[in-house]
Amino acid sequence: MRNFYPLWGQKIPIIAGIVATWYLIILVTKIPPYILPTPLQVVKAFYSHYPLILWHAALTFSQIGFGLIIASILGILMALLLDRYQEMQEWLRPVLLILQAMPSFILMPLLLIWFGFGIGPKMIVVCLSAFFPVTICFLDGLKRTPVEWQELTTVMQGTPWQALKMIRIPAALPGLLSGLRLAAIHAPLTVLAADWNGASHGLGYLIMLCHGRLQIDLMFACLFCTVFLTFILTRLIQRLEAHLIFWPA
Amino acid sequence: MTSAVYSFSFNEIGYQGVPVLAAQAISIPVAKWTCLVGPSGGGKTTLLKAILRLIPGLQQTSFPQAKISYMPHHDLLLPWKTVLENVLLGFYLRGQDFCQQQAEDVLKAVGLMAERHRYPYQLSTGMRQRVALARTLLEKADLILMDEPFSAVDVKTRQQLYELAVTQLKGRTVVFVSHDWGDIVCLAEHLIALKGQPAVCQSLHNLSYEFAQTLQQIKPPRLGYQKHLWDQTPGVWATLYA
Repeated sequence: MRNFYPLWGQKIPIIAGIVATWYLIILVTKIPPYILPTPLQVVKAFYSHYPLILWHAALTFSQIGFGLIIASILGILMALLLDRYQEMQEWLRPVLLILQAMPSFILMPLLLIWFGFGIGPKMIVVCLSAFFPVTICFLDGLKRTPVEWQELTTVMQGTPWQALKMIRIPAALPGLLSGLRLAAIHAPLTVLAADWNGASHGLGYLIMLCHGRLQIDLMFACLFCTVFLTFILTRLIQRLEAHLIFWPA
Repeated sequence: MTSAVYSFSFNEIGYQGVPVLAAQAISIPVAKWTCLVGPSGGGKTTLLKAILRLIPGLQQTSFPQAKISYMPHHDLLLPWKTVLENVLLGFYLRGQDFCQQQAEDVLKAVGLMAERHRYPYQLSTGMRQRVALARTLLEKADLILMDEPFSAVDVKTRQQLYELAVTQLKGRTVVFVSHDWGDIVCLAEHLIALKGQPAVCQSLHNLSYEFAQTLQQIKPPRLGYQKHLWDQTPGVWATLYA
């Protein structure tokens, strides 16, 4: 257990500190519970509504998860394509930039009309926001194959395809992973923003609903759920990284 | 074949606009260890890279089909491949069929059979150099170029590595760069020195006294150690100071 949670010794006092400060603020300022609920009220709200919260959280999580997986696949393919056909980079760079510059969640109402109310539209939104960092970071990694290894390939008369498979892709994995990490940090925000632009489910939708109905305790419960979700996502990517890049840098 | 040479002729080769190597022809005796000496930044690595066609400049060679392999001072092992896979790298890169038995034989020869399924980061620097040597051996090249191949390890390990290389590469054509006086005297059967800017190659036969001094400046010999070498290899010393 100690290896799995090496930081509990630091986490517990920090969480306790935050909860204590929270209580203190309520005690001192006498804020009414419909503006700022106590931590206990939030826990109670979660406990009484957890099937509802978890259902929406599961939907949001699967949208983020599938969105990231699809974006990674497409991004990896795109980076490989751009690496193989260098001249395409000049042509496609503006397109990629437009994709990145455009806040994809704004498209949500449109996507709803095009694809209906499912997990599809939000997956597409995540995909659009994650595609760029994955592509660019992986492509950058591919460009930075150490010169010595390229020379070794030339001397050994290796084929470009084999060199890509044996040397260049593994050497670019750290780049790919940092792209994925960037994408994973943005994904929950993007999904929440998409929820606020029209949705019938998801944590963002639930948060807005609670907000509208002044169920602030439930809203906080959803908020913490979102934070927890991001933690899980980061953790998963750390695991993936440890698995893929098993050698010390 | 004993008197045969590989000959190469070059155009002038520059680096960032500064000429490094003059246009010239060099010949490397077949089946001998040739040492390439010269001051730092004197174009030794440039010459090797030109022979390997990694940089332009090679004009003509007497053996255009010769298979050349290269062993730089860094081992260049792939951290994501096991020792065995690293040794077979050339075959993987060419998409060629390989005989695993041969690879294992080579690994046995360098004494790393037990480590064949481990990863490079689990090995010591000396062991990694031995893996790089095994990879070079398996390439079965006609001409082997080594650029300060064992400079990353301590003197004792380096001696062991050179001994290993000498036994394994006996009768092969090797060109190696070294700054270590002892290594040069012990290993070189032929010397090529680079001198001037742009550098011109000179074979050791017509080595002048001034030239021997240049060589000495690379690494001044230590006394006791050199005395031993002197006794061991009088021939080389006689050539040096002839």
